[in-house]
Amino acid sequence: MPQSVLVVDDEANILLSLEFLMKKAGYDVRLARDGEEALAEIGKARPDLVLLDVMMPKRNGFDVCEAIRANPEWRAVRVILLTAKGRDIEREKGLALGADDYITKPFSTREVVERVTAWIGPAT
Amino acid sequence: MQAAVAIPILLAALALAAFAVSGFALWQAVQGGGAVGVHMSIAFAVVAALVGLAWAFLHVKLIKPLAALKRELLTQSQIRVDRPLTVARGHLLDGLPTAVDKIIGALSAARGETQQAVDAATRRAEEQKSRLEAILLDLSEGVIVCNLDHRILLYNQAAVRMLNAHDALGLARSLFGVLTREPVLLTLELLLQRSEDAAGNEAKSTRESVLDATTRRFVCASVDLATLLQARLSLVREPSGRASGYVLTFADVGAELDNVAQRDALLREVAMEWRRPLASLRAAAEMLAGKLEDSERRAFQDIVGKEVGTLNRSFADVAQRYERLATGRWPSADIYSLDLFRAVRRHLADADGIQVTPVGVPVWIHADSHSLLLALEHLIRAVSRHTAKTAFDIGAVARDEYVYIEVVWDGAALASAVIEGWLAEPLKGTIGNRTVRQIVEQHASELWSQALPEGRTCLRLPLRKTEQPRAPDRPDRVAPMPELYDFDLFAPATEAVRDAPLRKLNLVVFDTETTGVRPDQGDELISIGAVRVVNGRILTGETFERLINPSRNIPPSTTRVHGITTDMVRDKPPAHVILPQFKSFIGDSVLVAYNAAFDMTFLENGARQAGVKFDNPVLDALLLSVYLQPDVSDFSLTATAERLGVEVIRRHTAIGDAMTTAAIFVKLLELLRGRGIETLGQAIRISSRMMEQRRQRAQLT
Repeated sequence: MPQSVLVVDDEANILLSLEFLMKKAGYDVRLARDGEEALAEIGKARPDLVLLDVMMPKRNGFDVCEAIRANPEWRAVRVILLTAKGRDIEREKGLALGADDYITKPFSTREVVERVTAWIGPAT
Repeated sequence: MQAAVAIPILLAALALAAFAVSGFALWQAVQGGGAVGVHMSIAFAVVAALVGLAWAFLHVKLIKPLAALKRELLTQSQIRVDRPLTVARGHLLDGLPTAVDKIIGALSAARGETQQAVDAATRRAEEQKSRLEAILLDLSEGVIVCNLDHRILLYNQAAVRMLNAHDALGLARSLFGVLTREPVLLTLELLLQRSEDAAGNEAKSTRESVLDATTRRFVCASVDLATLLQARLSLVREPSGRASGYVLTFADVGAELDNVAQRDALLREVAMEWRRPLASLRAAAEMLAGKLEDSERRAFQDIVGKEVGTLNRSFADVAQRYERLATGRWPSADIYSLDLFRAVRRHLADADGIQVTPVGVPVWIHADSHSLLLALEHLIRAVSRHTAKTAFDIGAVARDEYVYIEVVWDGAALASAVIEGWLAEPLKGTIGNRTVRQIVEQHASELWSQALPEGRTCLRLPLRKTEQPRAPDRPDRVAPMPELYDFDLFAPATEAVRDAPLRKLNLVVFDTETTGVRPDQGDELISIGAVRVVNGRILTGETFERLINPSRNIPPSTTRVHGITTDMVRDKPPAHVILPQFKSFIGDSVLVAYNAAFDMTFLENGARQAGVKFDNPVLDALLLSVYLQPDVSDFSLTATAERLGVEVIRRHTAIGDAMTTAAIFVKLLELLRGRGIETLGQAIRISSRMMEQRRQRAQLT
């Protein structure tokens, strides 16, 4: 059973690319289009890692990240934030709220795969 | 004819008449033959004649000249007459007319001089006035001078133009008819507070804060909010030093062409430069959608990869420049964190009963201070409502290029959704009723809450750090340690104090500046700076800062180190006045200094004469650093601070070094705890041991 990745973004194109990318890397991929959907998905089955966009309607990425960290059962879930602002400070805020890593849009696909692999290992 | 002249003449006539009547009576008596009647008549006639004559004499010689003299004096007192007094000759007034004449001469000379002086002063004032008017007219900056009631005393044409206020701007009218109220009031409050501080803390007034104490930059707007102004406020002082009004100078920054031009350039660049890569991307994408040979496909894929790379790089550059432009649009100025926090403390204490304690080492922040103040107050109020807490610490922690403003309270972290809710509320008093979110964005920042150790939570807002003001580089070396110093001499009287946990102690961290490094050769104290540290928090608001007049000159070689000259301490109190004040500031707190033996020796030397005793327990941050980092060779304050990640502020001022030492000591407490050193007694024993080792090493070399 490969590791599972939940991709959360309100932009359909990005969602499509990331889904393709993660599948190609061999992970088990699920998708969510906003914060509430993301938490519902995590509730259904705990993923190993969440690729989480920051700016989303209905609970933004910071909010979701906090909610994940607030639940002790989800402590093992790795969270990588995706953000469009690209400020050092935003990265620091994300890490302070419990995110494990941070990727700035626009990102290179290679970078995303590398980071995900670094956190949960190559797909088995 | 005047009565004064008429009466004597009348009297003389009466005397003659009496003479005639008595002559007639005499003749009648001779006819009648009554001898007694004859004699009486003769005597009467003689007396009457003598009185008449005497009176006539006095009238001519005395009364008439006196009347003339009075007339002349009356005339001369009203107008200036350039001739000697006219008094008839042969009078009995002796030297009186001459003396009076002299007085009149002197009076008229004095009158002339006064008139000349008045004329000259008026001319000078007129000159200065027209010069000032010319300067004001010539200035592109708006200038308004007000008294402390904010009534306008003076303004220039640029002010009228910039504020677009022909009707509301007028002498003796309120400034707030043309300018937004809050930024001006806040800035004035900060300045007045700072100048009071400077008066209280004498050391400060003579140091780098002289300029800060009278002038401050800030941002305000015209009352219709149409014009954003970068303003500078300076206090006007009376000769006594009391502020009597202020000068406001301002420039319109909303319409800064430079900024607009840069924005245009960015847009142009996006519109023009991105056209080419987009065109080739589009072509390649369309080609790839059709039927292609493998080699053709690879060629177009290469094109896509290359052009996307180009666009990406260009985008990153444009985005970064835009960020700078967007945040640069709101003018910011440097503000001393302590000033900001004191204002927060005062406002919240007055209006909301919330107790805010400034903690930590003060730093300079680059920000729109007025918006920031309102945002912080809003947030603290919101946290207080949400958590029912009324006690907060507020501090600024410098790290890398940022200063982290932290509001700390006892309790759990807040969910970001809760904070988000507060960010959306518009703030009254900000220019354009901005929200906290807009203010945070304006500073290119983020805001979040974070859990701290011991069940505490902070609200954190990073801001850009100020480069200035940097203290000039001065030599930095550890002063030689005095021959002998016994930390155990100050062993606490009771076991309870000895066993008290270090972290819970009331500490006073202090530093001194001296005329030199040889107390045994007559060097003396010239400055003491100290700050209170309680429960591991540096209480920024509780400081002691004094200059001391030593009984000897300050050698130029040491002035180069601390910047204090003999002139600066000339009117300051001597040590025997300051030391009892310092003793009452420290009470029974534990004293901490960097190279404490040095500072303690100076304190004790002065203490004997002042009639006080510094028998408080003493800890040495230097010796404790040596204990914790034995492999290091450079133990100057700066080097130790750097190793522990402590910002060095105002190096070689007593208060600056005391603050730095306090920050170092707070870090040392953590490190000591890691080594199992938890109590005051243990720490004192370590200080003694390290002292002994150093001494032995010194004897060997």
